[in-house]
Amino acid sequence: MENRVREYREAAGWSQGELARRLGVSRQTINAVETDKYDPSLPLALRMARLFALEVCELFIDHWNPKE
Amino acid sequence: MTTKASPTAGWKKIAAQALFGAVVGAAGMFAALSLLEGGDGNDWPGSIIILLGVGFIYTLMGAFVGIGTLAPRLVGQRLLNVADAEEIVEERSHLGGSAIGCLALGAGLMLLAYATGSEAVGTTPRVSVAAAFWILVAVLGLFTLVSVWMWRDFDELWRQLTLEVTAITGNLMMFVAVLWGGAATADLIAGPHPIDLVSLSFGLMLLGCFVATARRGMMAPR
Repeated sequence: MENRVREYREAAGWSQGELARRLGVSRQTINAVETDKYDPSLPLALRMARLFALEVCELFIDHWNPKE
Repeated sequence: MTTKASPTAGWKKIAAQALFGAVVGAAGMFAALSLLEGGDGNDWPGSIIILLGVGFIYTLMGAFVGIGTLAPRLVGQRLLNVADAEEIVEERSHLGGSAIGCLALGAGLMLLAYATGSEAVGTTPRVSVAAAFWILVAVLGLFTLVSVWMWRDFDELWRQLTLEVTAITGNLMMFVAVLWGGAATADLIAGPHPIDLVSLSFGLMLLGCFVATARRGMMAPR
């Protein structure tokens, strides 16, 4: 799923390690999310959004549209 | 701070690591086969040489990870696929557990290959096949304990990765076992030697690890 984690992390001036520390996950997890290789769980996505003071849908972009 | 290498430099680092591993692995296998019981290793059946090779790969991986973990700044950041030495320090407990697990498993597999191979060519091994088997069982027990301890400490990506490795390995194992067993039953090919089952299980787990980590982008240069 497309996301803007890297963009907001860099805007906050944090390294991947710093964001990982704040979220209590490994640096590999942040790297995998940013490179779109891993979709975080709902609790982690909520925590990420809270950390950047955003809504989850502003951080993770889903291009799905409901069928008519 | 995270240091960012250029993509070309990253792939060069991966290629150098692979080449180094291949050279050390080939030299080690050649030396082991030549030295074992005064060169009898070269007469071992193929199945046993394959088990020795699988054990050697685990040992080599354990050694690389172990050395990298013990000296993150000196060699770790060059040897392991990490962004910087700090990452190794952050993951020291997991890497240490992996290194111990791989070294112990590799040694157990190589010991079983040595004992079985020596008996196959009529030499009395220093460790009997039965003793080597029970040592491998003990090592498996240790590996399981280390895995449970690591699982409790894993974050969600690593837990997901572990489940994927298990699923991929299980599916590959079923695929190979059904094809090989079925074809052997139909007299199309020779059936597996009992030791092939050991090599298959550990070899396919290794393959499962590579596939799962590659899918999650963890084989790409950092």
